[in-house]
Amino acid sequence: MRGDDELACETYVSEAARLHGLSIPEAHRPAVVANFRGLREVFRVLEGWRQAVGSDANDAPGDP
Amino acid sequence: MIDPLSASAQAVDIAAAVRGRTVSASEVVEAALRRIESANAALNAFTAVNADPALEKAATVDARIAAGEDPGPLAGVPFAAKSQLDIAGITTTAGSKLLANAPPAERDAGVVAALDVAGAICLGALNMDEFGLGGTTENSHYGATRNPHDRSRVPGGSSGGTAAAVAAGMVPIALGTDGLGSVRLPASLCGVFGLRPSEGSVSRRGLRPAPGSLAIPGPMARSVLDMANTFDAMRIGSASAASCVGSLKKDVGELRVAQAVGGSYDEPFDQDVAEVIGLAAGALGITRKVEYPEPDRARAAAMLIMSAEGATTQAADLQNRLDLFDPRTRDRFLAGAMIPASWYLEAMKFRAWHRAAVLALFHDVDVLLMPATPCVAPVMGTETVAVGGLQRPIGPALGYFVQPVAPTGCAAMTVPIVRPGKLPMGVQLVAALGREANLMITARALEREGTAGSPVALA
Repeated sequence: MRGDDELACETYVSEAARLHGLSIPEAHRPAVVANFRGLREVFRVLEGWRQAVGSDANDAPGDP
Repeated sequence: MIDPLSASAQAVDIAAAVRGRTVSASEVVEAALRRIESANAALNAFTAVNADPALEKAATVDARIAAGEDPGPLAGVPFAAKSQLDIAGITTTAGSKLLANAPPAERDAGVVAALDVAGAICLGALNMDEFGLGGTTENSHYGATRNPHDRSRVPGGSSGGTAAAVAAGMVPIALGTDGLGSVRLPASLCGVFGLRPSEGSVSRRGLRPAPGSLAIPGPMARSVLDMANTFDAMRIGSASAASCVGSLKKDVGELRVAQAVGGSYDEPFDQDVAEVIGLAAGALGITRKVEYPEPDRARAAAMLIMSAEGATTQAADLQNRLDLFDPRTRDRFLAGAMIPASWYLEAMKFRAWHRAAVLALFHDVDVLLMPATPCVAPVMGTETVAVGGLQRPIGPALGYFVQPVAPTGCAAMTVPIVRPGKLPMGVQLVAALGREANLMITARALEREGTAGSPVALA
């Protein structure tokens, strides 16, 4: 049974595809959703970096 | 004396023989074309061979030598370039069917032209993962490239054709491109030297499709001297820059070399990884360990940046010609197209912090030693590889140790470690921006002592 998380990704991918003018064939949709979920897991590794590195992040070059 | 017409000949042997008129550039090119014709059916490293223009260029080199001119430090040296780099007269496919019918390139990419000016002769284009998105060179359109050390195994990617061509002795030097590790990864699995040059040190003109912020051309070779000569010839401002070849006289004892640790660079490693790191650290007498900042977050940032930038480049074709994509990359590009801007921007902000933190390490270290790949070359068709305690898709898994360095812009080089009777594996050396010479000096020390080396694969 699919969880809320998977359904949320499916919904996001459908909406984002529509907004980007992408027509994803039904047969490809599960793989695209799986890849997007993988990218979200990658982002979860990244987020929290400001807390992890401490005050240095406030001086990060490139900050606007 | 190595026969300059043999597969084992290095670029320096060939150039010396051609300049010394003991062999002609035409003979060298003809011999290389015969090797390609003989080996390529089994390895599929070349996707296009540029025979007639190469023979014409060789005749020009010979004529210049006969006239008493100097055709350059790489006189008559055959080379080839990943099919992502423009070669005049050849269609730059970037490993994709989408570009198969594009017109041939009108002029060479900047790095191809630079080697041409140095007297080297381009023999053709090399296979790759579509648009550089992959780590195995199992290309659905142009066929899979096979590892010359064991043809049942992948060469790595995305510059797998480059690594296979050099490892098999088809050409002594070749060009790839490195976005997240696409030079260093296949160099490790095929047992050759592979350099990711510092950001801004070589031209990116003629790299197709238009590169994002990570990709840069880089050379592969079977010796440090060939690597140094090739990089000296291809880098921007090569005439005025300090020569890497000249720096090889320096003793590695003058450099501060340390092993990188922290996060994914902490042991325990796979047995092969532990062995090559141990051999290199022992040969260099490394006792110092330095914490590499946030490697796991650096890998995450690099993957998000690469995915978002790559998908942006392909936006029009994702909308209109989706069926022409390689199935191995299509769904990854589609997912990348949907990355929220906030994720990309956060990755870029982290990248800026991380780059500054890594560059700060080089205030009191000259070279960092770290693993290059998490395992030896997997057999073809492998879908996942265990690394860092998790089973991961093979492409990202093979790039596990090279990806965190990519967003720093630093110079990094894979050095093949000699392990008789075993499949190839390299280690990775990293130095500050513009400090390629430090990599070469360290690699040369390993090579002199017999710890590093790249014999031609005879499989």
